[in-house]
Amino acid sequence: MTMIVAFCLWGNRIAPRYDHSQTVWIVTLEKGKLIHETTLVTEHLEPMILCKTVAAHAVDTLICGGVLDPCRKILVRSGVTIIDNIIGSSRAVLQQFLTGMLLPGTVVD
Amino acid sequence: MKHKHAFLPPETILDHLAVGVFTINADFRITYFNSKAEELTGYSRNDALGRLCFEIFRANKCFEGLCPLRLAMEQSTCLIRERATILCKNNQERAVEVTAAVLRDALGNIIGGVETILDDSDRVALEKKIKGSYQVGDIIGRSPMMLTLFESLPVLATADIGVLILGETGTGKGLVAKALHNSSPRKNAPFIKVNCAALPANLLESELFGFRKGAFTDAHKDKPGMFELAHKGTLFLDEIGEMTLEVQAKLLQAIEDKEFYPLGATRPVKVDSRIMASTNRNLLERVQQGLFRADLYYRLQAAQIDLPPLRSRTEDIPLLIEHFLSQLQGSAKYKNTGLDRSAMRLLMKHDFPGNVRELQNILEYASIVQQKPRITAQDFPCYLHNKPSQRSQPVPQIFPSSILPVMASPVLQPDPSPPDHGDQGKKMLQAALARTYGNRSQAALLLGISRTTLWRKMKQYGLV
Repeated sequence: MTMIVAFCLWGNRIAPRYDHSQTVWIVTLEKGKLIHETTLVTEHLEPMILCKTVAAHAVDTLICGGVLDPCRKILVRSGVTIIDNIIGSSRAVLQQFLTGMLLPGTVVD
Repeated sequence: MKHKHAFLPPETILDHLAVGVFTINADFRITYFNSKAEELTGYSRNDALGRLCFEIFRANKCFEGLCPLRLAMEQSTCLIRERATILCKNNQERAVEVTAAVLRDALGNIIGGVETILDDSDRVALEKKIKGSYQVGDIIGRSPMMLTLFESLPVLATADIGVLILGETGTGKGLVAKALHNSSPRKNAPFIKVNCAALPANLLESELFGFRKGAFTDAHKDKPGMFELAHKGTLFLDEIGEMTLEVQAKLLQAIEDKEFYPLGATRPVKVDSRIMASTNRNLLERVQQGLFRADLYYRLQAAQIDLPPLRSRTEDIPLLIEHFLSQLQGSAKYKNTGLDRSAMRLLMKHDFPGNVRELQNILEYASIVQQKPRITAQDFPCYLHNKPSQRSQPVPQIFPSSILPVMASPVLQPDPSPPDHGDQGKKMLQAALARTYGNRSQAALLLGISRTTLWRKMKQYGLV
């Protein structure tokens, strides 16, 4: 079973704010392995456009820092599961996610 | 007792302050975080210590290159009472006021920074409230005429009656209609705007009432009209003064019967729409000339709003300038920091035949051409410098009262003369067209009127 996970990034760390993500790293996982990845440049994108972009990539789970309510609602309505208030580098957070132990508010360093 | 105080560690003392305090090292990692900082951010001291400060505070400034701590450390200075918005752990934004300073070791080397954070939510809420009292929807003003209008709008919004909005071009008739709809019980249903001047009569009829498949050669499928689309919502008929008598008759019937026949239909369509209409024409005069149906006129003006021209509420000009400039500053294209005195003086003297829209266009134009951080009079379009001011002359009061709700009353308002500048208007139009080498879009921008209005005026003056 494949799963598409998006990470909102600021540099190589999880962006502290969803609406200030520089890039979104989208990975496709199959049986716990990364089989495909792509990076979208999202700096200066309006938050609502960012939501549409994430939804358009059929993302199942979004991992980000803080996210404001209007964006959260749009993402949830689009069927995206949000794991928010995450702190840490993208690779470390991905590893933690693969263990199934990444909960909202987790600090991974 | 005195001795005990002397031995209190500084951290404990800082924990008793009603101000958030934190320190960072040269790598921007948090090295101290007091109790109030915990309360303001929602993060515990354990969560925060050792973390990058922007991952905890998540302030807008952190991501816009305006971090007060970074600036203080780079410039070896102290930044006092900077305003910012942080994002708390519960994902709610909080307005704060911060003061940032550098920390030095015994040799004077910068080893980090210290920042205090004060909750600013109450002040920001109060500012919003004050600002809000000068604004309803997108309509802005603090002149007595506008404040009276603002008081009346909530009443008119909830009364489910027709509203006729009168005012010169550019006074914001559309904004009033939108604000009324947004505050009405119909706000969750569509707000449909139809410009009656933009379409020829037969096309306007099919736009308003729609048609059924087979009604004419190209009618391959049913098309609902704007009236039908506005079901349960509001239908706003802009520039209704331009509507032909035939369409007026059909409109009146639809309003009275709450149903109508789309072209080619054998059954009526029932509608429940609130009708609002606007015009810059003197509708009563058109009634007297036989160009507008009296019964439709009285039906539409169950409540009437007269929007004052900008020249009769000059005290609103600075507020509007502030509003438009802050809008322009929000756009990455424009980086103005306000108007200098010469610019403000010129605007205050101008009589704004194109009203608020003209002011908006002038500021947008100036923002594009400005050379200095502040807009000067030289940045404004040439016609502002060339045209003699009319402010010293008495300006005819075209719409004397700001708002006149006339609940289904046939009593007429004093005859408003059409907002037309006659020969002068024609000359202005010709001058604008000459300056723009016939480019109508640019001429409209220069005059502060819409392209549709420009076209209508050109027709009126026989320039096409």
